[in-house]
Amino acid sequence: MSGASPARTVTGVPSPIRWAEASDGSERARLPVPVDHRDPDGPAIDLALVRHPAAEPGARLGALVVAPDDPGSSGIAVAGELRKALPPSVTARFDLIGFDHRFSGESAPLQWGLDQREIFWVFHQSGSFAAEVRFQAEIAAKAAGPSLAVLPHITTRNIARDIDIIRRALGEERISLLGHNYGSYVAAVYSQMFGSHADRVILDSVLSPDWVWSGLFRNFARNCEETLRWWCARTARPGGPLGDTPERVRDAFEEVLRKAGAGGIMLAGVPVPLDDQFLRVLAMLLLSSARSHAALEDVVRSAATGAPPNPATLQLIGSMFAVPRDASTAAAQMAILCGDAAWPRALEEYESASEEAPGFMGRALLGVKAGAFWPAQPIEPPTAFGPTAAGGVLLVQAERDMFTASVGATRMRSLLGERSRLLMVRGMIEHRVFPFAGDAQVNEVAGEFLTTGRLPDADITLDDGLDDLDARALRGPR
Amino acid sequence: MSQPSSDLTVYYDQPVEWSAPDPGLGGARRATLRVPLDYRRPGERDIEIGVARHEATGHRQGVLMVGPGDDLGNSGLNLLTALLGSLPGALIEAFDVVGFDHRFMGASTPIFCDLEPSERFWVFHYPESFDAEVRYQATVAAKCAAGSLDLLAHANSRNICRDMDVIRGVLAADQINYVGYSYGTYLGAVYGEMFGPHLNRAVLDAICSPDWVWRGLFTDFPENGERALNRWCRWAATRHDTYGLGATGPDVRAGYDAVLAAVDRGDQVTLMGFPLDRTLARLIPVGILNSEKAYPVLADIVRHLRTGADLDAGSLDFLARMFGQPKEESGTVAQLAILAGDAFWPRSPALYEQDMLKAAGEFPWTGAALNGIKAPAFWPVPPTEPPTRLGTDAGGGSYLLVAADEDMSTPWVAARRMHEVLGDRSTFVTVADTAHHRVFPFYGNAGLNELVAGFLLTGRTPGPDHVCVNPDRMLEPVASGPG
Repeated sequence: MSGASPARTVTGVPSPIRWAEASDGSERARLPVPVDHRDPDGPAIDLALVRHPAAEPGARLGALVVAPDDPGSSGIAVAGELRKALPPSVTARFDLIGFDHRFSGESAPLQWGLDQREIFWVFHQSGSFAAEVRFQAEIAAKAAGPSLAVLPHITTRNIARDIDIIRRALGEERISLLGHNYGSYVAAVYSQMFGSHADRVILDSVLSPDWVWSGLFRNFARNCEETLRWWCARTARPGGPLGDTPERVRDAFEEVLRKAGAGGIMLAGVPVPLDDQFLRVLAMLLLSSARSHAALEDVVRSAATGAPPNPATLQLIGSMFAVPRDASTAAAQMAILCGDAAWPRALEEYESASEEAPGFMGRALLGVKAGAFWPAQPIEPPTAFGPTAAGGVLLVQAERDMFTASVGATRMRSLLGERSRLLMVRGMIEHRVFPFAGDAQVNEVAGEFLTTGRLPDADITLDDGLDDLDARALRGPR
Repeated sequence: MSQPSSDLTVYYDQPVEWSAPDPGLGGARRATLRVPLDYRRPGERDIEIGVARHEATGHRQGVLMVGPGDDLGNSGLNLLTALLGSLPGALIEAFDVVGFDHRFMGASTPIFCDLEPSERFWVFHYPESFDAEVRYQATVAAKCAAGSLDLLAHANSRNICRDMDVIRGVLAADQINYVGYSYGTYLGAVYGEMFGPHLNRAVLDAICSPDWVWRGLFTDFPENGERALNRWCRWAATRHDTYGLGATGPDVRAGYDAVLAAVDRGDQVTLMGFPLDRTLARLIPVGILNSEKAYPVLADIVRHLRTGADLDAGSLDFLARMFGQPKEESGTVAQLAILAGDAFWPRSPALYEQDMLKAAGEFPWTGAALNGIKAPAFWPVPPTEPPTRLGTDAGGGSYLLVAADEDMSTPWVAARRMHEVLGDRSTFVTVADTAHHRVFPFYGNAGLNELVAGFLLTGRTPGPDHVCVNPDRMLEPVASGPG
């Protein structure tokens, strides 16, 4: 089932998009797509699109379609971020096209009536197994109520088909694509299904097709633990507040978790006691970038000693949790993670996995999820990958990316074959590298590929001449 | 869709090879038909339907199809055998009597999911706690998904009715007559709606409410169960001299409740040496109370449980028959698949927990078991089409509805709902003072049997709201409730 089956996609030519200028200078439009691509004349929804036209129209090379970076997250917002962050050589020559994917954001968002607890804890709760079964089954029940008929159509393959409708509505024979995190998977699926229409493709912070999607959690749990160990090693130093050996640092971390589990800990400046569950998620988020590793050290120190955290730490934590996640975002995320491929339904699988789970996030990540109770089945298997037919695919990956472990990128690289290259930054703990990590070399290689269409001659590993990988990671990106 | 579409003619016109008369099937001949797994995609994948036909022994008048019920392991072929031994002779003479196992059980592409014996009791499974029950029922559903995911979506009553119409076509009958019990009554109603011109006369006995499809079947039970149990208590009180269970209905009930309380506490309570758990301590009486003719068996068992007195031969024989032939696993799985496949069940655990707690208070006997969460709440596939709207102008056939006034599993009020929905196409017959599930011809009420046979042979119906008296009634009628 790899590749596109053109007979199953919309055959008519969509009408040209009518762009309207928005207050921020971008252009907005709506474009109808069929809910069920097997039934192109059936019910349709409107996708919300944004275009940031090429800054130098005379030098325009084409359209660069940006894929949403998380299931459920706004592709329109990501395009806005990229407009500011991409090298000028890219924004000069490409129209940046963003879209909220089907059933998210401004594109017929799902309304399931999820409450705040469900939205926040849907993936990260580590309570009793029985309680989690009920919690997750309730979420699946809420999905079934209003959305049973559309659930089978909320899949990555259908998002890829939507992208091809966007392409044709743009009047482009070929498009270039840029996708981070889940967006890397969307762009990869598009270039697998519609390879002849994919020109220059960048996959950044790459998901392995083997993870779709219960496997994502298993891999992620291991990676969180590995990153924590690394943090312990680098946080240990003579006279350091948490100890002079990695073991002592880990002990300090575990002791804070224990106290949090026993009754919660008050962190000066944080209005509510932090429980064990919350502290684990906070640690996970702070571990995900080397730029916030000092804040984790500060949190643990503060929790252990009662001394107030640094203002910068509080500000960072505040910014992480200040904006509550939107209910429709969480719903769309669930719909795709549970809809692309069937999850195991045998509860004992989850129970034994979460009991044996490695590391400080294992219990939460490997516990039962709503996918085990999903009320619908996939209508097609997930995409099988083989050598790409796209003009070229450049994979960009931080070696120690916690959210998307670098094995995902090496796996995808091996599947995509000759017309792909991997750009790996050794030692870097970063998620979403190009251009967000601000690494000049990465930006140069990726920008060059986008503007010339030429892949590097070989895979590239950047280590900037540093012998000590830890030193680089400690410092974070330049 | 009263005419098969051209895609289906290959099924309607398929050649069929009948076996030699099978003594195990009352002398009927067996055959295996092919039908499409998915009627929206005929030709893609076929499944088998096992049918059997006993040819008319006299002047042949037509086909009498027997629908599968949920007794006898759902097996329509078992039911056919039972009927061939019980039907009035005039019907055996006049009709080719035809039975079938419905799709996915018995002789019809059976599905198996490695259910443990205890998991086959999912309908009446008594919750140890709500969380434990979630686990138990979700596991049953997960096993079905693991074992038969590709088939589950095609298990529903409408597809069984389509299968029935293929059988009709293979028999080269323009019309069929029909007898259905319990779940088979629903099939009879749906068939008449979908294939009205091909249905002549239908007898529905032990009738499901059209409103039940299907959680209502469960949630209606506890109240009817209490009434049936209390009726037995009242009967046992009249035999206090024999059984010593109490001189009034409430006394008898208190004695049974004491046994139940001991089981629920976790005390060792054994039946013939076998320990009773909360489920079996309820399920065994439920099974017995489907027929008042087995009232003495329950009295004997309760006496045994209370005093340790030996069981009499009749009870031992009854229990041996009840447990000697456990329901075939495919019967359990297919039944579950249909109950889950005909209509979408609520899926919120919180809703079931509320219902369970409420029903446990109101109906302590079976409320917690029947109103709690059930495997269909975790079903892995949604229904492929909405449930059938019954009683529309598209329907056909003439129905005789038979309802015993004290039937526990399909209560009289459920039959009345079917009568309201089918309207003028149905004639309603109440069998008075009778606690029996499936009355015709099994209870042996001669007046009723004559009336039903007459209807099938001639179309003659009694007047509206006819009442058949029970000349062998076991209990003087009084207001319901113990005492």
